[in-house]
Amino acid sequence: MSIDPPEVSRRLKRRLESRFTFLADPEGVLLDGLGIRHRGGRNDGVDIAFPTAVLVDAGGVVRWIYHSGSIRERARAEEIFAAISALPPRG
Amino acid sequence: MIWLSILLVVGTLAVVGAGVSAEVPRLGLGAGQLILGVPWLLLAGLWGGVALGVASLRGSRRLPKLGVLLLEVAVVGSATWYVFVGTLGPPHTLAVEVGDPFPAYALADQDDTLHQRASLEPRSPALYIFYRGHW
Repeated sequence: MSIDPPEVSRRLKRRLESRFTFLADPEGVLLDGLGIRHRGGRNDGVDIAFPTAVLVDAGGVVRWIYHSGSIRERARAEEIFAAISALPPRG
Repeated sequence: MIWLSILLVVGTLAVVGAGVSAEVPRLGLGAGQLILGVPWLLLAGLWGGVALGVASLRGSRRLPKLGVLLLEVAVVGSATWYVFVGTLGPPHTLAVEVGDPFPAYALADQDDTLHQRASLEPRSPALYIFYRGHW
């Protein structure tokens, strides 16, 4: 998820050979919904997201959030896997 | 000892530079700025080099050594500032907590296919990772 338009994400997905879905949020709908809009955070003054990861369960409820005060830090893979493992089993 | 100091500072920076260079072709320049936690080992290497520089001042030819040391302090100090202060974002408050519903959305993916939050609910859990973009 980023503010990048679909064509930019399409190129990135191809370059990374990623199987993830790249959602485009150019207006920052979710940045405001989650409170993670970094106003003027990009070098050219455009608003972007604070690095954040959110795990949502099958019912659409937030079950885990990673959010750092540093704009350079990201969630570690082991943190993400631990959060996923902690989700209740699907009935 | 001043040469050992220079070697440690420059060597540590070279190791970092090599790591960044290896990732840039694949992930872009932004990858070079990525820090996963505080790089304590890197900082220890840099400040260890500065400490050796300080120790070297006890010998002869202090003036050129002092010049080198000041340069090292400037470089290492800048790197340390970047890690601890330069990467801090402005204060802000999250609008959701664990247990809250994820906000509704209708957004296009990389292929212009529309995704909506409602479409998640009968499906698997989802992980949203928000990047700063501009790749």
